[in-house]
Amino acid sequence: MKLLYSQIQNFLLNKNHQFDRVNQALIELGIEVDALIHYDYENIFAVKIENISPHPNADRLQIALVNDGKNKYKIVCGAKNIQVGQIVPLAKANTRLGEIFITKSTIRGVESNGMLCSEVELGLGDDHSGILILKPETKIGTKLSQIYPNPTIFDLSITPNRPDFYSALGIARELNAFLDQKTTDFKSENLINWQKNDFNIKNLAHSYYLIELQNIKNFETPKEIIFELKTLGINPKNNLLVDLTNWANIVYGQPLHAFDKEKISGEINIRQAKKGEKLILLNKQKIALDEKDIVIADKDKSVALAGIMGGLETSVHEQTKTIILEGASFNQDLIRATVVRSGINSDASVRFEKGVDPNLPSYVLEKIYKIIKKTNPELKIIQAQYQNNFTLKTAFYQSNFCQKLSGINIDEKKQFEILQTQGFKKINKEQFEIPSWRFDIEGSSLRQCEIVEDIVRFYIIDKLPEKSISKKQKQINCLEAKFALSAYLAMQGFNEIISTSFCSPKEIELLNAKDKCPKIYNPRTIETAYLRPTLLMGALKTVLHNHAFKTHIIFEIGTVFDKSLKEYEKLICLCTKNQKNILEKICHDLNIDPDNIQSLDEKIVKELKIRGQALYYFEVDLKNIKLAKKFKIELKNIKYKSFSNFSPSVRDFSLWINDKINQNDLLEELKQSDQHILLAEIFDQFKSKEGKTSIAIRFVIDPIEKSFTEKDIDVILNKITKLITKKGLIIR
Amino acid sequence: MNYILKQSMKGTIHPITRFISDTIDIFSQWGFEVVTGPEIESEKYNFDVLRIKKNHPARDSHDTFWVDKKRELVLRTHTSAAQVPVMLKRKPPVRLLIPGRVFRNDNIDATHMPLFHHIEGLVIDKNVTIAELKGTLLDYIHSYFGKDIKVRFRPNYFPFVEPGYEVDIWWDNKWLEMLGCGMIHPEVLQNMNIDPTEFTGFAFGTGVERPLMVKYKINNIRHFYNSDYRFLKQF
Repeated sequence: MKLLYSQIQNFLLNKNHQFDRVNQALIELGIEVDALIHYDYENIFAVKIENISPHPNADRLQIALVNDGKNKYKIVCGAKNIQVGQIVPLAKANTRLGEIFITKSTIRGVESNGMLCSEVELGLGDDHSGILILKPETKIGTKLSQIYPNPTIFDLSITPNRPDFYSALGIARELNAFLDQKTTDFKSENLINWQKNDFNIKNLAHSYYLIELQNIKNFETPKEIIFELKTLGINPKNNLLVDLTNWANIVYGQPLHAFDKEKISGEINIRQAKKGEKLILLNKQKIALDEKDIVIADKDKSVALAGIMGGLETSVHEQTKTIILEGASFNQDLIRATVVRSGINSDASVRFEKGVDPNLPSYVLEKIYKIIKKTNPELKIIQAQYQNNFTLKTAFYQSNFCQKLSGINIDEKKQFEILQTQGFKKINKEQFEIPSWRFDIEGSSLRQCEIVEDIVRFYIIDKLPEKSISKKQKQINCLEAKFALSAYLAMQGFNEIISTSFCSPKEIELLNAKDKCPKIYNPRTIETAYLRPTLLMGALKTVLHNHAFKTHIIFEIGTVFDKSLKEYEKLICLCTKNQKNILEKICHDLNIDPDNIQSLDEKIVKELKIRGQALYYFEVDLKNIKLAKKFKIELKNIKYKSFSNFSPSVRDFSLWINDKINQNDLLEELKQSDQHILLAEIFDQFKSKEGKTSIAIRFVIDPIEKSFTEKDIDVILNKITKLITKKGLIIR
Repeated sequence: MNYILKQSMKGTIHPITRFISDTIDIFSQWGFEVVTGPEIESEKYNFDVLRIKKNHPARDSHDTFWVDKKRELVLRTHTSAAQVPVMLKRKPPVRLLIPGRVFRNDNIDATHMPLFHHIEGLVIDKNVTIAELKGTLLDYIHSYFGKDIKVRFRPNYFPFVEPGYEVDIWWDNKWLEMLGCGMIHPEVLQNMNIDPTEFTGFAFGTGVERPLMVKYKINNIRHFYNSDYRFLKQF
């Protein structure tokens, strides 16, 4: 959720906190700051354009000479809408503008001392067609922060247990408690004389408020609100009611809905939908309602899908004379059920499905009334009605429970203080009234941990002690046998792969396994349509993926599935014909019948266009394997080097070496001879009858930036050859 | 006759296997028992007993694969799914590690795959507190990433723990999310047939691919599953 820092600040009781302190506090409170978008308006000034000249080296650019009242600056500018005499915003060098950072720079040979800014560069909206032209009466040298509030934007992740954080108000309330130990009261000013109505809200809503307003003539949205919406990336509709509703959602966390009074017949009420009832929503979607859905209805029909979206027929437009504005706190579980059933989401439902403070609607409706009244002095309240059906819950909490869970004894008085600043009210030593906006706290003795969470969060986790647990004797590791198997196979030269558990319909057809494996009922892509009945597909995909290599020698240990959803742990070993003897050795060592070794089905070879040497493999149940000796995965010092998306080249070299040569050093040196050499490994080695040693080295050459041509590879191979000869070694 | 000294090069162990094995080695000094659970799990164990109730918004973050028509069986979305069934067969005190493959119905990109790996940890005993949770995880992270690594705990919400935390490490000049953890929720302990007034415990869950990506600067999670020899042969 995106919020302006200024929107939060409006609700802060202490306005003197440094921005960094507030930012840090959010993290300490568990409100994750995904992104911070900052515009340094303090370093942007209104300047007058005194002269415009063409750029000597670029037709599309111009050079503007601007004056901030003290100095003149030469600025290179690409926008075409500037004229001499205009007042425009200049971002001087070293200014942060969201993603961009302005520095002094030379553009096509001309020095530019900053940037003239468009609306989009200033985070003020999405108009990037030209430089933002300020009002002609703007005094030059004025900081932009004096014209527009600084749009520092927080992009926050709100956890589903704290719906009260879905607004500037809710976050500020927590900050006031945390930073200043102050409880914030959002009480109405009693501007509106609310009359209790007989809405039959039952368990459908915790509170329900309606206010009927007449004489809205000016539908223009105040410019501050347009500014705030634009900076948050919400397109203002310049319709007061629509914009205000969007704005109230963000600022107060209170979804509102406006009805056109003339389209409503009789009294509004709240009920569950009737069987077969239908409704056309604001987005023109026609939906069949379920008997569990909450609807707002007049005497004839439903007019809104409560908490989610209003109906099209009763929506307001600029000719609307009388509106009914609704603010409510609906039963979150029922709203959620409708959202899940219907798949319809909205900014309102995001809040209602998790719970909205039942005390909030009266406060927010009053604020909104005041804003409308400001530009519509003749605004009249026809009636204001409400109904409540909630009582504040109490929580049982014994202060010694805190130590039991946190490991630290926080003074009882301190604990109670923390709770009180968060809006809990002490009834007696063990009883607290839970704030109306906290839907996450249940209050039973069993769930006292939820109260402890609030206490230690304010105490800050960093201040809690830490304690190592005792050393103990090694226990059973059910993966030990699998690790031993992997270690053994790697020693035999096999490379472990881990492949996807899924198969596509095409792959299943190829394996002729349509009736042998489970189906996924909601795959997002066809790649995840089935669960694998065999490890073979993963191994074959590996062969195809590594077509630049002539030799394959791989294994996987993994789970496969059958139609009845049973899981089997299997081992597959697959290799090219030149390694087949190792496959036989493995069968022997693992006590597997060598008859399990098979060559890859001709049909599959053809279908997958597998070229090169024939492939052999076996796939066996892990249960049937016995590894006599113990093996352990050896530690390895890993230095990872990234590689490109282009196909690598693999080249083998055989050379005679003498015994004085350290093979590892030689490999390392060869690797360094060109940056494209990713790997150099010895794969074969023998002694001739004359006593000379021959080694075979395989080089994996990665193209890094572009596909290789034969010429590129030759250059690298030459370097290798040169180095080998230089060392006095002979290539066979 | 030529005398063959060495016929092939040595094979390699997949980095995911290495990570799981390394992690088990670190935890074995504290007597953690290693167990596993099935990849197909009931909705009950994957969600309900962990307080991720049907229709609860917390389920939104688990894009689930369903493997039956009635939508009662899922590919487990986290190794936490094994917590309750494993504990129904055991009595505290326990120290458990549960590694395994998990699934999310996500679109594939450089940081998302429909499958990845988790390692779940579980400690249940008398007098287990946040202090032991912090101590154990700090010891673990320092063993894996080095003694000098800066670690930060930050409150977060997972329905099956309370309080819950996210642990970040300071790496390449920024904070990176490393694992989630918290004190096991008393209702979850009850679902394990454990008396929450007598026992407390903590749980944690770490990814496998992510710490590997951080440690070795691997820029794409797909490398783990594409089996490119240029990748595999480096481990």
